Amino acid sequence: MSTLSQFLGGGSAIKSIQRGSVTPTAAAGTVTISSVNTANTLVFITGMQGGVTTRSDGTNTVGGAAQPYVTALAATSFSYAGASYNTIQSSGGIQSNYTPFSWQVVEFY
Amino acid sequence: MRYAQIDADNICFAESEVLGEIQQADMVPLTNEEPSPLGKRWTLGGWEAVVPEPMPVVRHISVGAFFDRFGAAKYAILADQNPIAQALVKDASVRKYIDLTRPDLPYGLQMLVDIGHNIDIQAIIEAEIQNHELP
Repeated sequence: MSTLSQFLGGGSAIKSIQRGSVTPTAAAGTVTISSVNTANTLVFITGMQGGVTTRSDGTNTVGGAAQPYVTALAATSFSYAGASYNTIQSSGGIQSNYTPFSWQVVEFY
Repeated sequence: MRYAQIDADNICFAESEVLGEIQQADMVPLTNEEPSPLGKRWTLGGWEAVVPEPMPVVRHISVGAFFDRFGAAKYAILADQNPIAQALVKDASVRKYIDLTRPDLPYGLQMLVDIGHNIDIQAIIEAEIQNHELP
């Protein structure tokens, strides 16, 4: 059975992989990485953790986890945004929440 | 190499495995055995747990819920032709919600008491907000 690497000439098409986790302290931020060629590089948001809060009657969603996304990729960093969301507490207070996520930066030849 | 990245408050918000050495003030090298410092504060002595700051509390209720908190006095207040009662009811009615933390609210409610309405100001302002009272 043929593999992707065989189709690509027998070697790996991947030059490097960097990975990590982010627990945001703000809605947007920038993560530093080792230098890559941005023309040959993809950033993956590989997993997120968040919650949805509903009123006790179960009818109205008053808060949902935000889904952070990549806003920019530079040679030595990538930026994300959209990592915060608000939930209304039973006391009526509004709480700011941040969505933790994992990432991988894959550079190809 | 493994790094913890810290924000302006020295809180670790990112833990990364990168390709080589990075010399940057906000990048703290980690050993492979070190537990994740995500969410912790970097100090000269190492990583310390952060005590979360209390969230600002917003206490908004709907206008209807606000009037309901007048209890048995509600209809008497709403029907009161006294200019003070009229002004307060009108002022509340045009709002999308009532902010129970407004500093002028106790004075407004005290004016209702002063013109003869039996309401519990403390209970109106301080009672826990129920889900059905949310705007």
